[in-house]
Amino acid sequence: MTLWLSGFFFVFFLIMTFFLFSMGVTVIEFQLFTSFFTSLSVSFVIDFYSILFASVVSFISAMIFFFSQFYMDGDTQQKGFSLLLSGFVISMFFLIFSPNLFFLLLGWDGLGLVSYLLVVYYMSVSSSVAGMLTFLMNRVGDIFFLFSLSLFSLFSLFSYFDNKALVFVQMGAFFLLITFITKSAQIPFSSWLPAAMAAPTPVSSLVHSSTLVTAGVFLLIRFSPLMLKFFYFLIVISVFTMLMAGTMANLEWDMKKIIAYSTLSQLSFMMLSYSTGLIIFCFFHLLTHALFKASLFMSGGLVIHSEDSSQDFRNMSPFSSGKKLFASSFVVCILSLCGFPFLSGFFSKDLILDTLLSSFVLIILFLIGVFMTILYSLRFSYYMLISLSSFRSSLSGVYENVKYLILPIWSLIIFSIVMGSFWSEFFFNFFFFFTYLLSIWKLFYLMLVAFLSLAYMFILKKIFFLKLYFFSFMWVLNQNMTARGVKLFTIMADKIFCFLDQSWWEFYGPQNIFFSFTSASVLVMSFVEWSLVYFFALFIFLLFFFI
Amino acid sequence: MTTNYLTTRAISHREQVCALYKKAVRTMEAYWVIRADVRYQAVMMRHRFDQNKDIKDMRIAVKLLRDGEEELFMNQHPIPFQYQYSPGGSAYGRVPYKPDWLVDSWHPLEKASYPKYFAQREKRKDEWVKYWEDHYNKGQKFDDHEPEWHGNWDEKLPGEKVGLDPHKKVKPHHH
Repeated sequence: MTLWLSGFFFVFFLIMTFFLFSMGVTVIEFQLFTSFFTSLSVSFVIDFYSILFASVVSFISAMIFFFSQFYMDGDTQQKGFSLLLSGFVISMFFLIFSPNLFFLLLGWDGLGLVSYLLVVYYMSVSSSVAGMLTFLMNRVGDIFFLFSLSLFSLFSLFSYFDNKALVFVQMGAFFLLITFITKSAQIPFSSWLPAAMAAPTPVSSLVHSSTLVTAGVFLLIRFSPLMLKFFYFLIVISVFTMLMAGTMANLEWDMKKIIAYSTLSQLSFMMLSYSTGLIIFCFFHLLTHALFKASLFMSGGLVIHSEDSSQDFRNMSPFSSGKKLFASSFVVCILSLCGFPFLSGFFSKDLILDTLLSSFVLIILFLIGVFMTILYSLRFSYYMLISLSSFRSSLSGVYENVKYLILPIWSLIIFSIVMGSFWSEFFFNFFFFFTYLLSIWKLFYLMLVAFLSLAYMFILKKIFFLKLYFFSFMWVLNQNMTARGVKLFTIMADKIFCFLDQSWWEFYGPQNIFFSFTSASVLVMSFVEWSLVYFFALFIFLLFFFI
Repeated sequence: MTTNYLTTRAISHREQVCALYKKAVRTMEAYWVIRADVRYQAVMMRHRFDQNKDIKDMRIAVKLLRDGEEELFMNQHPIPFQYQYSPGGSAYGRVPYKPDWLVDSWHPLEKASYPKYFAQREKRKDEWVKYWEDHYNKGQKFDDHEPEWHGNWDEKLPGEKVGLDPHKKVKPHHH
C-alpha cells in the first residue's frame, strides 16, 4: 500500500514536471455560489510557484513513502500510518494550489490535525505531550487565521488575487502574518518544532523539510504584497530565531532535534531573506533546502534504526565499513546545508548572503547566525563520523533492507546536488559571477569559523554558559509559552474579574444601564399613560366638536 | 526520573560516598563523549576521592561529602544522558505493554461474546497450573521457591541473604 502511494506521488511529480515546461498561469475555478458582490468558488492556481513547489513536495513524498515502507516494517499500524501521511500531503496540495482563503483554511487545519495524529503515533506519554504542544501552538495560528478571514470577509475578499484591495485591511494582514509565523515556528512560537520530533522519522522528514513548516513561508510568499508594512517586524523576529536555533543546535545531543533546530535556523534564514525583499531567493532556498533536509532526516533515521532507536549522540557506535554510504550521504547533505560551492545549498545561500551583505542593519547578528549554522553542521558531522563512543552501544549490525532505504536517500541527494544549478539556470534565471575580491572575505570567514569550531570542540566546552538552562531550553521559550503563559493569562483574568467585571465594570456597565433603562422606561410609561388620557380627551373633544 | 530523594532507609556514609562517585562518573559521561576522555576524567575523580579516603574524623568526612554533593548538583548536565528505553529516553514507552491477565478482568457479559475463546482459555489455564505443580512445584501445596523476605525490601541490608524462612518447616520431597 505504501509503495502504491509512493508510485502515485511519483506519477504526480512527473505530471507536475510536464506542466513546469509549459510556463504560464492557469486558474481552474468552480463557482459554488454568488450573491451580490460575494462569490465563493473552489479554485486552483497553476503557476510558477505552485507547480515548482508541488513538484518538489510530490517527489519528496514519493521518496518518503518508499522509505517508510521499509522503515516502518513490522509495525502494527503501518496501513493507517501511510494513509495519515498521504492525508498530510493532500492537505499540503490544497495549501499550495488554492488561492481562496476558505480552502487554504481547509488545508491548514488538515495539516494541523494530521500533524497531531502523526506526532502521537508512538503511544508514549512524552509523544502525547509533544503532540498536544504541537496541536495547541498551531491552534493559536488557526485562531489568527479565523480572525483575518472574518476581517477580510467584511470586504468579501477571499483570495490573494485581491491583493490590491486586501492592503486596506492591515489588521487582517497582520493576523495572517502571525498565523504564518506560528506554522514556520518563529519566536515566540518555536517550542513545538523540536517537540514534534517525537514522531517517527519519515514523518519528521516530510514535515520538517517540505510540508508543514515551509507552508508558512510559502503562503507568506503568496501574500507578499500584504506584508510589506511588517517587514521590519519580521526581520527582528527571524534574526532572533536564527540565533536561538543556532545556539540550541550547538548544545543539543539528540540527533533528530539537532536537525530540527537546523531546519528552524534555515527557516529563519528564509524569513530574513523574505523580509529584506528577496522573495524569489527565499523561494529558491525553500526548494533546495527541502531536498537536502529530507535526505538528511532520512539518513538520520537510518542511523537511528541501526542503533536500536537511540537518538543520542553520546550513545552512538562508530561507523563500520558497511555504513560508508550512510556517512557519505550525511556529508553531502551537511555540505549542502553549509552552502559548499556547487551543491544546491550554495546556489541559494550564496545569493542571499552576497545580497544581504551590501545593506543590512542587523548584519553582525546575521553573520553570527550563519556562523552558528556552520558550527552545528561541523559538530553534527564530527559526532556522526568520528565518534568513538562505542562503549554504550550494543553490537548493531547493518540493517538488512539497506538497499531499499538507500535508494530514496540517494535519489534525493542526487537531486539536491543537481537541481540547484538546474533551477537557477532554467527557471529562476539567476545570474552568478565570482570575483576574487567579492569572494575572498568568505575564505577568511570560513577560516575563522574553522578556528572557532576547533576552539569550541576543545576549549569552550568548559565555559560556564554552556551549562546554563537558559541556552539549553530554547531561551526558556517552552515554559514561557506554556505554563508561565497560561499562568500569566489566568492571573490577568483574575485581576480583570476582580477589578473590572465585579466592581467598576459592573457598576458603570450593566447596573448603570439597567438603572437608566428602568428610569427611562418609567418616564416613557408615564408619557404613554398620559398620552392615552390626552388621546381620549381629544377623542371626546372631537366627538363633541363634530356633533 | 530517579527516586533518590525518598529516603526510606538509613544509608551508611560509605554507601553515600560510593553513590556520589557513581553519579559523578555518570555526569561526566554526559559531558565527555569520547570514551578515553571519560576514563581520564573518571580516574582524576577517583584520585580526588582517594585523597580523602583515610580521614577518620567524621565531621570532616561528612562535610567533604556534602561539598561533593553540592559540586555535583552545580555541575549537572542540562540534558542528561539517558538510554533509549529508560524513563526519559527517546524510545521509552513507545510500544505499550498489554498484560495477558487484562483479558481475565473482562465482565462476564463481555466474555460471553466470545464463548469459544474463553472456554479454551480456561482450559489452558487449568492445564498450565497443573503443569506448574507437576514440574516445578513438585507436588507441594504452596509455592516455596520464590525468595521470601518478611519485611521491607528497602530495609534489607546489602549482604543479607534472601531465601527460605529457616523457621518454616518444609516437607521433604518424595522424588
